[in-house]
Amino acid sequence: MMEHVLLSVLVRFARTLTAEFTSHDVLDGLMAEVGQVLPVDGGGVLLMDSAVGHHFTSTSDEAIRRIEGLQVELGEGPCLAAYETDAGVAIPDVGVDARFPAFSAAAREAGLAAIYSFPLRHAGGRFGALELYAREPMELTPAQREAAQTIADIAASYLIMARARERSEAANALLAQAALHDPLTGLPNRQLLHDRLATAEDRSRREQQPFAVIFLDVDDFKAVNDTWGHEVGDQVLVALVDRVRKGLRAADTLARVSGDEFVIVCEQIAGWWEVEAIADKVIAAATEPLPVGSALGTPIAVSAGVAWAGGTPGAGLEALRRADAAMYIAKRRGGDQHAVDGTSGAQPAPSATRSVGEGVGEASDSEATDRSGRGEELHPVVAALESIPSGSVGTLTQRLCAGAARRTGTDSAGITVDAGHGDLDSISASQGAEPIETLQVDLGEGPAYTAHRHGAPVRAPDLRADERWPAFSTEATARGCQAAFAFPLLWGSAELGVLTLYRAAPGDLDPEQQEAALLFARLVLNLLLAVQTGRPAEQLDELFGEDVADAASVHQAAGMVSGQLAISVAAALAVLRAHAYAESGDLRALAEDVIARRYRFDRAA
Amino acid sequence: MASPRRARVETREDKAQMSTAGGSDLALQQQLLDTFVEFADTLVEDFDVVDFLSRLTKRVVELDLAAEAGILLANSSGGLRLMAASHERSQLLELLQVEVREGPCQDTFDTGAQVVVADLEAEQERWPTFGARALELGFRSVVAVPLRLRGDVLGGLNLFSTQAGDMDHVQRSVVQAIADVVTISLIQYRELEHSQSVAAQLQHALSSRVTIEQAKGVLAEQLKVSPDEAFVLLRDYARSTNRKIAAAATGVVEGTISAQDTVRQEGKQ
Repeated sequence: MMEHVLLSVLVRFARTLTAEFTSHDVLDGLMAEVGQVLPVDGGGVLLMDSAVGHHFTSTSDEAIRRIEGLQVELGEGPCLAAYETDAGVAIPDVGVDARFPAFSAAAREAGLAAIYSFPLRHAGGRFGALELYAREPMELTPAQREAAQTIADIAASYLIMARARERSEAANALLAQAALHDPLTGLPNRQLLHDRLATAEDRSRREQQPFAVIFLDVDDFKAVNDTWGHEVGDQVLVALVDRVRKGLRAADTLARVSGDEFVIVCEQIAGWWEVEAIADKVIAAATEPLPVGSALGTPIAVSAGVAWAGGTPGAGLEALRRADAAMYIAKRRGGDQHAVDGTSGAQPAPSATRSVGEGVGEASDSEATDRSGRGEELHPVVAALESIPSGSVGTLTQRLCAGAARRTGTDSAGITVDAGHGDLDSISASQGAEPIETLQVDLGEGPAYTAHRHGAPVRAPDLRADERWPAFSTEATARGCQAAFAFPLLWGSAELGVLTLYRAAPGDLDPEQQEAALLFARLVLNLLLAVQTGRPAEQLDELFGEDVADAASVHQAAGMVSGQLAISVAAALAVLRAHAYAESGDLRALAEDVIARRYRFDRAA
Repeated sequence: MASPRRARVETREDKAQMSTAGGSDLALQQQLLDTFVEFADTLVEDFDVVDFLSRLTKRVVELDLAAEAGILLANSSGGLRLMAASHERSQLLELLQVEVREGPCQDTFDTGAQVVVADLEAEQERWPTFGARALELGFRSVVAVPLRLRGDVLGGLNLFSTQAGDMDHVQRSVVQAIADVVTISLIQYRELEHSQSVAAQLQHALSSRVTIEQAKGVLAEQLKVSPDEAFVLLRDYARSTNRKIAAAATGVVEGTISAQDTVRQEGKQ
């Protein structure tokens, strides 16, 4: 019987506590439940904080609160005894109790006749006691006492949870504000800046959009401090921050990294010009005379360095370092200006040409600067692909090419990768594409080369009428290829290679086919990156607008495929994704086949 | 250093595990009581949320409330994802994934109310894919209970039985209480550095689950074992090296823990 009642207590407890409960909620619940289960008139909880000797009580009525407090003052009573001895204490009738004379007398005066105390235990120690009162003498049965102790045990656990959480929340709130912001300007400090940079990297990876870092430094700030003192120096900085802020967009983060050094993280940018415009705006705002002290007549100036970053982990910090170096170049040029970092390999093209669904941008030979000659760093792709036992990725990319052709309504497809110095190497092609791919590589011209050079897609719907690549067009049409479409494999400002689609008859891609081709290019890009670096550049499920990427079976299958192909699990995920797209489109079904060992990827062809 | 109380609980727990189905009502209630005490006790410590939830689903089976059980949580985009299951074998996983698109758990998540299907055969048209698959796997009845947090629903606890039949009032409230304990454990789950929103914690818990699936796959492939056995190896390795399952899984996925390590550890036990 007791078990049944107790169980309903615990059921109710669990329900009440599914809010982010406080210690008060637990204590209130405890009191309410105890009154229902046992023949008592009231109760209280005494919490001892042994370190400081503080106590805290919660009771069902005021008279009891006084009695509980009294125990602490007197240094005697059942609650203290239960707390100290770790055993339940029973006083069925305070009128005949001889153990706690002073306390019992006070309790009788307050109208209490029977008192039972139970320790609140945790991790081998106690932190308080539960006390139950009746106005008439009464005896609790052993079963009732055991029930009371069970409730006390459960309540003790929940109390510890609530207190731990309350303490950590209070501490966190205080610390978070203090630890992450600069006290003078209220701006994010270096630590929070690092956090923001990491967030920007993640977003960049997800959205395939680079971001920029601007490093700002006040020109000759030391002179301000030396001439006017640090107090004025501080006021100058606060006023400067106000102005700089006005020049920023909502997507920009301004942080103070040290004395007179500030950093702006610019995300969601339309192109390089927008960031340079922000830098110039900030520089202009700084030169307006600052209303600090009448003595300070001369305006101050700042120098800025701009650098770009992509989504690879650590790219933000690296850009910070490069922006700092660029800022010194601006200073050497006399200050009061900005300089753009030149080591990261030019600026990224506007993002519009990169994302699926925004239409295909076109490169013509007249626009954009020549982008070749930056391929050396990409060579590892080829090395990485070659290090994989032949057959696995080779077969896969071949399948991918066939899938690409099928899904885009073309006849064949090939993948070329940057082999250094802007040269392309053919790594895989579906049937029929290989001769045309080789042709481009041999001639050093063709749609793939142009797409690679400009970092934008190239359309050649009728090669016969095309005058851009005379040698290639002649040879290709002679081999039965009359249309070609090339899509660069772009990650940030890095070009990994080109996916090219071929048609035997002239004809353009319709918008849907273009979109499929762009999607495919990203899939191939991610596969190459995953094989090279161990992880793909972006969340592949977002590419597909499907919600299966965190499905258990897909990940289990990826774990298995990583063993079958001797590649990382992240790369295996990209392989599964690519394979499913090229074959059936059903990733989940493929995963289940792998788990059930109905399908396996083999290292040998 | 175990407290006297903990020792007492464990003795009772052993007793609970030994008693078979069909024991007296009183025995069942005693087992349930012990289960609640045990859960509350675990949550006080720095507990392993994956281990805890997988133990909890197993306990639901031991208490004869279901033949198999699973917990699904909502991810940041509101889709339901597997968090724990009493049986790691892939059939149940598959079934729970079918659940992701239709099924009692999806319904309980959408409505915040318990969903009880006493006989799947009689209600096949309600969830055509899920119903057919569940029957095929030998399940006849299903109960889904919401994981409630204030006004929100975080996910659901799913119970599958091989026999048709409804739960009585007491069983339903017990099952809801167990679901509430799951919610409490998720509130208590503080793996993240800073105090985070419950949504962020759920996402974090789910991503640790993703890593565990990957590790299971790695072990299953390299050791030629079933996913269920792979999970046991991973869990035992984590326990014996005093790590959390998620941390051990990360080690396996990143290659710092080899498949052979987990077997060697097993041999020592």
